[in-house]
Amino acid sequence: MTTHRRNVLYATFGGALWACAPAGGASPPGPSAEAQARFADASADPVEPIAPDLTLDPRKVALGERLFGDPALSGDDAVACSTCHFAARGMGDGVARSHGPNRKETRYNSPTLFNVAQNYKFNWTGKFESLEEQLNAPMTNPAVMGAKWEDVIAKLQKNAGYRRDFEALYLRQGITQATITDALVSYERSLSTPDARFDRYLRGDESALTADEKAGYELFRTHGCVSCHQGANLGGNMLERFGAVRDYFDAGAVPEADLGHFNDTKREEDRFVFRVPSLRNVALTAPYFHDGSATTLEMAVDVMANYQLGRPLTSEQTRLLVGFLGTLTGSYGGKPL
Amino acid sequence: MNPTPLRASWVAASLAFVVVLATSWRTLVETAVEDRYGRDLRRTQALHAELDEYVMKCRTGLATSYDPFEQTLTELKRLHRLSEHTPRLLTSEGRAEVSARRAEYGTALADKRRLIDDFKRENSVLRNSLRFFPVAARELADKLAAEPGGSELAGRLHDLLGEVLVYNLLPDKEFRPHVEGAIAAMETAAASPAGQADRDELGILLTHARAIVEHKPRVDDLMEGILHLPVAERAREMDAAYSRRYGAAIDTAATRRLVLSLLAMAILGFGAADIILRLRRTAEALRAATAEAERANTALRLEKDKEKELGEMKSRFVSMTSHEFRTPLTKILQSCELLEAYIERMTPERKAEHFSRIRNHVIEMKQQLEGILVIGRAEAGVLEYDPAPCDVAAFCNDVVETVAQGGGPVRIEPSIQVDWNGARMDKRLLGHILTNLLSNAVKYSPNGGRVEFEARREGDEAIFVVSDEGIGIPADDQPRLFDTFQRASNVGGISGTGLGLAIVKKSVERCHGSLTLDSRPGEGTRFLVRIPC
Repeated sequence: MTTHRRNVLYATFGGALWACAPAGGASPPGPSAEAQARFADASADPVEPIAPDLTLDPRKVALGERLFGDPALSGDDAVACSTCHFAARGMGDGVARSHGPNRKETRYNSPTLFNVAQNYKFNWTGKFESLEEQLNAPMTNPAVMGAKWEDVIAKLQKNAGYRRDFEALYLRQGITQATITDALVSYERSLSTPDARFDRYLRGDESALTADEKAGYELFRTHGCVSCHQGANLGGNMLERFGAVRDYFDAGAVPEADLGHFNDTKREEDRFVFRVPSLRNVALTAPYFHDGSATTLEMAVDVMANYQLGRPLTSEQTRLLVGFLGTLTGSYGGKPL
Repeated sequence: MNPTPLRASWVAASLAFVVVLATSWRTLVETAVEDRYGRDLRRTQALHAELDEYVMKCRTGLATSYDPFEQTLTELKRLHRLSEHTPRLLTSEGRAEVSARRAEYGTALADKRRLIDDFKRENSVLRNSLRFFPVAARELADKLAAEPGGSELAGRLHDLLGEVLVYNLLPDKEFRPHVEGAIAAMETAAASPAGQADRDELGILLTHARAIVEHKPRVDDLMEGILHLPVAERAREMDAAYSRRYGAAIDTAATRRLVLSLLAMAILGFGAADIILRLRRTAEALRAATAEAERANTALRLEKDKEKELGEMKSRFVSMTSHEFRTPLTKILQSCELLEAYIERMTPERKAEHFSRIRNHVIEMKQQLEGILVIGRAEAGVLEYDPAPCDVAAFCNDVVETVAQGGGPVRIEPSIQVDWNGARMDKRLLGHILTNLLSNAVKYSPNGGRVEFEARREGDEAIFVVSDEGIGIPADDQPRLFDTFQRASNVGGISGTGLGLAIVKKSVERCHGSLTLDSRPGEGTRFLVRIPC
């Protein structure tokens, strides 16, 4: 930390002193290459490796996984949680917006559930602050599970296996909204994908990344992506306006869904504000954005550079960044994804 | 001490104990929970300090990851949720006050939560531009300086860079118009043909300069807002309210504990005293009952003894009468049979002898029956006492004469005072006394000897002394000698009813006189009688 502080002080005060120096000379004094490198170093490790949650009860996780794949949790027994969140598509479903049988299209793209335990805001607008709070929304949303809790509980009660498991794990509570939620959330918390090549690099394995990927990471930091995509999940811990530097939406005519967090708070400053999603396993979770409008990672990266950073990328820079993002794919259940 | 108030005391103390315990039960057992509550409150304050510090770090770029915000806020949210259950140890007003403070704190916490979200949003944009702008500006300035006619623009860019950086460092907002002016001037300058080639690049640069100008005050305001949000103050107030109420509750709990222990001691003390008193009372009752039983037992034994004595007396009476009456009756029968068989051949002397014998025995029996009647009357308390003028000397002589008629080897030597002028006595009772004493003296002197009889007057008293030289009375028999049917153990074959001395005693007592006995076995007996006259 002391190194960072010194670097930052040097960068800021150094910059200020340099700015105050007499200008207009043939060769005005500027920051040396070394100073520039330090400036970049000011935010040297904004990302941390992730580690699985070892405090989870494996029996609850197993029960949650069973519930996760059980269509009995939907109102019409037609879809399960796993219909829109499966490992092959990075715990999303690979389409712009999900469209289940006899249902309207969902409002937003199905987000990945991998590493969701490391996020601090949930769903696209960041409406919820805990997984337990969030779970009720898809369960009761007619476009998603379309279920009523009492029906779900009644259905599960008929199953001797569930009855036994719930009684074994939750004693007298048995099958309730709270215990179903707890089991499902336990499973969600277990969906950790450690051991990405980038994690290995962060832990000191220089050979884990290629030179291009390292250059991509350097670009990721210096170009400003890391301003929002930071923390263990490279995102997931803040809200940001889509179009931070340049307007992304046509303010005159946007669908309600694009208003983002404004729909939750009705505060003007929350207009077009969305949760910054995690970039872990991002190579697996196309299409991108809340509306699935970016079909490839290159498209998504370019949109971000233009509207969030206000700095268009060259195709080479885009390639390097996409290359770096590919190193964020971890492994699940001991197998690389 | 009466045990009733004692019992009331310990029962009352027990009731009070139960009541105090029931009302203060919750206040006595939750110390561990209270500690946790207080700890959580202090941890809350510490976490807010950390949050504030972290906000400043993020503002200056010392920290770039927002995870610590969320981790801390998640923990604060958890602590706030936990604090919903105010300790039951507190009074209801105390809990209400802590809850009110908690609600205020909760509002402030939600404000902070929102401000931090906004701060992150604005700060990310600001940091992005701050990271990019100086480097890009420097690069472009260098590039422009190398171009012909671009040095002025490069200089302006330098100026702008300096102004933007200073603007970023200055806390006040007065500098903003100046920077905005510089940006506008830059735009104007860029519109000149000289800068045409780098217009796009310059445009991006100016966008970021504007972003800095626009977001910097927002970030600073948000940071100020966060730092000046009274959330830590609310947490402190909540802590203060809780600590004060907790202290009071602890005092109350301590007082109640004291009251409870005093009550417990009172229960034990009064209870023990009550039990001891009860035991003592029971023991006393037992002792009284035992004594009562003892008394009843004694009375019963006495009754039994009396009954036994009565029985013995009856049997003595029966044996006496059977013996004392059979002998004269047998003799009377003999004389009658003899007279019947031989009356014609008998000489007149012999006849007279038999008749005399019959008459004597009848008289004897009559006297014995009279004695029994007298005793009966005396014991029934109806013995008459009727003193009258009396010639005692003559009366005594008559008695002596009558007794002497009985014959025997005894010489009666009377010494009778002649002058009894004015004496009043009951002759019947006197007769009983003297006749019995004299006849006894004669009867119990089987070997002869003298019988002295003295009658004299001393003032208002008549004194009669009868002494003999007979068999005497053993000392063991003397105390009961005057009882009915009681005879001395050395009477041998001398017949007697055992009534004589009893009659004497009753008669003397009836005359308000006194009787003294002085006797030694084998030497003789002396009776002294004093009777008022």
